[in-house]
Amino acid sequence: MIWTRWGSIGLATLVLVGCNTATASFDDTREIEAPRFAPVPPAPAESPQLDALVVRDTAGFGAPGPNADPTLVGEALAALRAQVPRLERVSDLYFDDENVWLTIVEPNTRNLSRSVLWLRSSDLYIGEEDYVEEAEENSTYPISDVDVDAITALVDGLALRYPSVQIDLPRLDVGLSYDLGLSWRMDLVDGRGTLATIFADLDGTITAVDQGS
Amino acid sequence: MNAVRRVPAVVLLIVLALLPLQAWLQAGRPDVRYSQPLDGLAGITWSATVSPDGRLSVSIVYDFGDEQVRDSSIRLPSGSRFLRTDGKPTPAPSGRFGEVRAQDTLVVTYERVGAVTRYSDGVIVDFDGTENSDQALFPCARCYLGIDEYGNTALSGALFADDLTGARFAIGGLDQLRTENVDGALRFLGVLPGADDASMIAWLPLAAAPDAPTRSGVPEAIRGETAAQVWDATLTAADGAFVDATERRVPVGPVALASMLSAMWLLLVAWIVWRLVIAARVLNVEQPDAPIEWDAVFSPPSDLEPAVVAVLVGDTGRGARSAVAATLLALAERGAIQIDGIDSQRYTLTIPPGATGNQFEEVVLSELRPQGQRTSTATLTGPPLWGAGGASVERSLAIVAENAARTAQLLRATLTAWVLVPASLVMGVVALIGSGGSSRLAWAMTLVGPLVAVVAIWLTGTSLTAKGRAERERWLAYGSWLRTNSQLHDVGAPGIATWGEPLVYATVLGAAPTAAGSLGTG
Repeated sequence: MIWTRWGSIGLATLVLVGCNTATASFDDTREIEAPRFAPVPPAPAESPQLDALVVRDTAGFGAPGPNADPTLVGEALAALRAQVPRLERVSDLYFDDENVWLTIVEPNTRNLSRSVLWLRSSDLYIGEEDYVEEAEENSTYPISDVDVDAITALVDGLALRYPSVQIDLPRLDVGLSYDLGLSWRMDLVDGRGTLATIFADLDGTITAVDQGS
Repeated sequence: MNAVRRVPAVVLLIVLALLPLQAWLQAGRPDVRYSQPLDGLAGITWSATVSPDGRLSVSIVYDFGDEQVRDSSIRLPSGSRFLRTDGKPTPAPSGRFGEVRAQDTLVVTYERVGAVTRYSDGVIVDFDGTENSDQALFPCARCYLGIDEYGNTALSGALFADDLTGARFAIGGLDQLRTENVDGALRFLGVLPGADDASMIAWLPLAAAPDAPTRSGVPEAIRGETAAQVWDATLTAADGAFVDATERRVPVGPVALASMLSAMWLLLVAWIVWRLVIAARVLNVEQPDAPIEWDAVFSPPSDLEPAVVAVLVGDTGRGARSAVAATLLALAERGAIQIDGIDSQRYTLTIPPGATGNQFEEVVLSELRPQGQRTSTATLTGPPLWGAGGASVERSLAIVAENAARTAQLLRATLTAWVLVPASLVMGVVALIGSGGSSRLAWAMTLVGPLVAVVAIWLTGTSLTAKGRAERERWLAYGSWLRTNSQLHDVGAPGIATWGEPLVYATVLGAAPTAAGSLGTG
């Protein structure tokens, strides 16, 4: 009697187990193909990743302000190089339609930095030296990484593609690059506020669109 | 023993051999089988390519296995960019998250920077999610994809690079890990318990990414001076969570199952061979092992019925014989029937009304009585005595005698049911459990194996017990002594009045072929 009961339980268990299994074949693993890398777009504003951006209805409100002017960057850097010929590394660079701000690292002294402001009126202001605690090599980058043509092409292209959006404060700062490495970061602002934050490689290729959750 | 009688046992062994054979074939295959598959996530395929400059292109395919529409969350490791879902560029809030509506399958692709680091002795690819599952191959799949159930799923993966010579890699979070370094990729397959996350660290040759950064971009990554240090430190920190997948791994479970089934089958083979050999050896004995004590063989060694003696002795020894004839002579010897000689060979056999006999004798008498009526008188002349029904009488008498011999523990089934049936059942059940219930052969063998065993037992027949063997030897000795009497050879059925009991047993032991022929069915 007891054998009958336990036998039934055992058989039922086997049936349940038998009906509740799955298999996976290693042959499927051999069929996996190598993922490819994204191609470089013909122009920064034609980056495929920009298709992730969804423009919203602003009920006729236009851009809240003028776009940042990338042509200022080249002028600012030229003025700065004239003042600081041995300039090598920068930790931060951003600009709007009138000004360019930089944080430069004193040559040969990694722990000293200076704030720099360049105005469209061609005035250059270099601040006092600040001591930077344990500055990491990763947090700064060579001034040569700043490709003025690339950022110009990107900003101008975006301005053409999204005429009702303000391109605000493009910024090159490792700490604000979401672990993407050194990337341009800029906000796109429409009549309702910040539409998205976009990230771009130094060559202007857009790599990520942060449009909120 | 008749060789044909071995065939059913051989067939049973061949049928049962399919179980270990299947188990070994399964053990040789690098497939995985898992229980409690997750409804809503049939499998995950992960792949990545390492570029010479240290970027990674990652693709993750979630196969939901159903048509349900799901709002799925995507969590990305650090340094992820170019996020696409199902081929479409997708926003990534904070660079680490995404939301997407998915159905049937979800394909997530992105590139990653910072996870490939170059050292003097190689390149480390870091997908270690031991401390932070966001940095793993993918975060908990079940948790973020909008799947309500709980269960396991399978993960197939491949890491591609230009050079994988001597590459090592370790996987964490997978059961039944199968790996291979082939066709330019480190390929792996495993079961993802709870459809959670899985980690990987790979140590590739410098040629795989000669231009990769020399500093890891993964937050809180384990760092070191060399790739070897990072590799060792990562595996140590994981505290056993990583399995070094570099060497091709032997699937322990399937091999153990195949070994167990093979051992069971071999034991069964040994047992069946032993039983068949014992049975054959006993029946092949022409002469008793022990020297005959001639003083002891001058009279019947026991009071066994002639038909039972016929079962024990069989055809061993010289001379024609008949159990039916011996049974009739036994009836005549005790006066239950009457055999009157017409001449030295011909006779009249009379069965008086109300004549009865034991179970053996009744088998014979019932055939000779007119319409089987006990109250009738039958007077028959012979030889020949039997018509068409003679053969069936012979068979019926043999069956009754064999049953009696079994009851007397002189015979036993050559293959006993209490071994063969449970063994067949257990092999099927073990194969069934080992296969997780997915083997159709195991199901079939569990149900059919015991039936095949019963058929084999029945067809293989019986063999002598030790007691039966001793009895047979004594009767063979008695038969030998009877054959020394030349007169018995020619005595016909009517001689029962003169010879009495010795003629009865001589008829079944081959010592009285004339009497056997005149009363027998042949």
